[in-house]
Amino acid sequence: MKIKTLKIVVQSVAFISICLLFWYLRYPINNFFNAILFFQLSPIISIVSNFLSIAVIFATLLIIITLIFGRVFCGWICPYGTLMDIVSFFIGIFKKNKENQPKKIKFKYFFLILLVILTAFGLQLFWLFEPITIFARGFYFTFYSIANNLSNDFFYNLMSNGPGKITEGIYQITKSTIIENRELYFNHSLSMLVIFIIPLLLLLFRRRFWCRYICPLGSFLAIISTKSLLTRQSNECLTKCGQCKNLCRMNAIKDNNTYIKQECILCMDCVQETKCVNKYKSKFSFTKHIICNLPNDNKPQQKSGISRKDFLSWLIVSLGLISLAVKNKFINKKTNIIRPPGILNEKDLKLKCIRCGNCIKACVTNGLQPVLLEAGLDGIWTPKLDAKIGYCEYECTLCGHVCPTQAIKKLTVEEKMKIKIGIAKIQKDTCISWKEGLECLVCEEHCPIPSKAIKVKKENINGDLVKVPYINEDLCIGCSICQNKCPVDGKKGIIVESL
Amino acid sequence: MIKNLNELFSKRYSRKNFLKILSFGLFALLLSTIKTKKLFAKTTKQLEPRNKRNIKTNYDLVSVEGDNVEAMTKKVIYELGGIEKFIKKGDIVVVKPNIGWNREPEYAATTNPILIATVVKLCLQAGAKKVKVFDNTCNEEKMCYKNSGIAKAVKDAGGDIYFTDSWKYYSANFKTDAQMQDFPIYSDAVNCDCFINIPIAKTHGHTKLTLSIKNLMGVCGGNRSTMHWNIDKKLAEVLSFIKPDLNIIDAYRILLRNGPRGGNLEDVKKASTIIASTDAVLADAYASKTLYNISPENIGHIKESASMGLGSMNINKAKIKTLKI
Repeated sequence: MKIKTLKIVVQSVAFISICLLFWYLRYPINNFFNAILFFQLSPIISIVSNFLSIAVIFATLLIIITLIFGRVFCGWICPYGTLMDIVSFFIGIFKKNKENQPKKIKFKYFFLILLVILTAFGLQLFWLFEPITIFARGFYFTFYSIANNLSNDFFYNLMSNGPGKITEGIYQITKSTIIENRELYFNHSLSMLVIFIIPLLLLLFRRRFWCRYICPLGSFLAIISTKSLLTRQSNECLTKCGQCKNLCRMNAIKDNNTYIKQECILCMDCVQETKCVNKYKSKFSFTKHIICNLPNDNKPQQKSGISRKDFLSWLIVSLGLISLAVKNKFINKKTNIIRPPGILNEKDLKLKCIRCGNCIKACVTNGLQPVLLEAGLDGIWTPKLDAKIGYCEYECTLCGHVCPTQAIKKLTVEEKMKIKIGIAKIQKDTCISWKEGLECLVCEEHCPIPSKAIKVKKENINGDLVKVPYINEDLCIGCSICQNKCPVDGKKGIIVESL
Repeated sequence: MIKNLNELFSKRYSRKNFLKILSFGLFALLLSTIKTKKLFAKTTKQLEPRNKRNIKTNYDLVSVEGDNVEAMTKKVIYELGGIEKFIKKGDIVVVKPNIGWNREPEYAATTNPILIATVVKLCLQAGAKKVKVFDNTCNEEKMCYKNSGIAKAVKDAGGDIYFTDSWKYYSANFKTDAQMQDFPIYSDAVNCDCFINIPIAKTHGHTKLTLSIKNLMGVCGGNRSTMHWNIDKKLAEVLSFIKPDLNIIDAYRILLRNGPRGGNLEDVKKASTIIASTDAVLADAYASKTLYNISPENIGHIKESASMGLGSMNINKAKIKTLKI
């Protein structure tokens, strides 16, 4: 088998299996073949999670692979990279690829260092740039929710017309294996889609634009891959035809057919002999790399290093961002956001949350939703419990089990049942029992606390003695099922407030 | 970018490429005009009240005490006259347990899985074509089905257990001036030959007790919480609509306080009883009197159902058999 074919096969298999892992990140969760293990491959997750041991183990695995083979993760496995390759293929039909002489030092290395420094200063911005989470957000909140809701809709319309035997059979199988038997709704999914689309639009300028110039995970692996064992051998080819240079999707190959090792993602484009005019084949091997120094290469060497202009602009950007981080610390915004159980404090959450959306997607009641600006600029897309859509299931600890950075702690059921996330307040102006004297007690029925945080007492309302609910605030954990199930239209009769 | 766009639209923009783009666009346009809703136009179906089978049993009510749930279930049905009285060959049977909450069976919030499995097995032995088991749960359905142990028990017994589907709720036509008129009710519960209602005896903050009549709330859909307003009348109407053929009250473990959800093992009492009757009102009246010592006149929905003529709550008049095994 040709190496290029092998690469395409591996890439497709990896892409499909990663998509399946993401698709099946939901209630009956498998602790071994779990999507979070894939997230934890990324060393960035280790940095963000403050070196969580399991994440470090997985990241070390990836680093070892990179030390042997180079940036094989970027070229062969990364799902976002695969998606870019697919999009670039279609763009390539209309556009001829021409590359310039590559520069050695690129923006992305400074960018990675900046992000690490900012994280150390308490402003974590990796969530906006980590490629796997960008892909996951696009997958979960656009592709998955649309696919699930459309198929639910389709079957609803098909079945309500009178189900046939075959259609019902198909539906029963799909329902139990592929789709979820509920309509999914996610707030602010459009903002996530925009971040997902922008790197794909950048492909109009250059193939793998994101991977070349921005990707922090890619630059991390690039730094490691300078010491990798596998190298490209091309020293026998002395023609300066530029064919390989234009073939390379990472712009790693120079005019003289040598290459910049850390830019190479082993996409195997330059190995295809058919595209070479001289039927010459470059290859990858573990033998020592011999640098080809062409004697008649008279071009002045590109000035390496960072220019004064670049330095100044970077200084300003970093100072601005650091001041933003400092400012946010002093503001101490009082927000009315109910966070999922297992979150220690707001600061810790904002620092550790990579915004992969795992908790929001896995939540069994669909109650976890991303916030946009309620939690401040550095709290975008962090999870909150939205009682309008769902509630926190009393004996469920799923959100902690799917969090790759442990921003939401992994809890046992016993621990979780004691954690207070909010407090319910009876609204005497809207509660139908308190206002109109109509017995209801839906909230009391649903209250999951074994000895009921919502108690019943008899009260004289409009001349009648009626059973009305009241709250024992010591027992209430704020799970919001009372607000979610309250039958009153508009403003609910019971509302859960943050602590 | 402008340079690249120029490249895209001038140099390489051949007739072939133009036709490609055009055909893609036309195809997309074609797709957008076809609406799935138009292809499969929704018909508004209405449900008619279910017809109850006229079954003469040996006793009006049978109550069995014992320790083995399986043996007790078999005994209680045997004493009524055997499962063959209720089920004919080729019948489609609906078994409606209480799977409302995400709790293990020990907490007595959901029906005993062994009892359900035994009933399912008996139905299949009597020649039932299909035994359907479902409930519209209050908590998340997947967790309720799994943690109550009912999904596994029914599957092993050979019954069909499934989650309720949104498209199977049809609006109910009571044909009388009912408060529940047009409320969505699960069609499988009505379109069946035999309906077996298997509740668990629990207390309830609002209706005092939840027994067979209250268990029928699990076939209703839509915004069920509103049923809590004037619940006595509404539950009686649902009973008049469904008319279960057989009610088996699981009182092996009963919940004494903090119902219907429970959660404390101290609130659970082992009453070791199973009560069966074709009359839901009588079964509830008997259970409330013997298990909780509450007079059925004090329980709104039982009284309302009796006054609507859906059954008798006069325990003294009924032919009752009690036995111990």
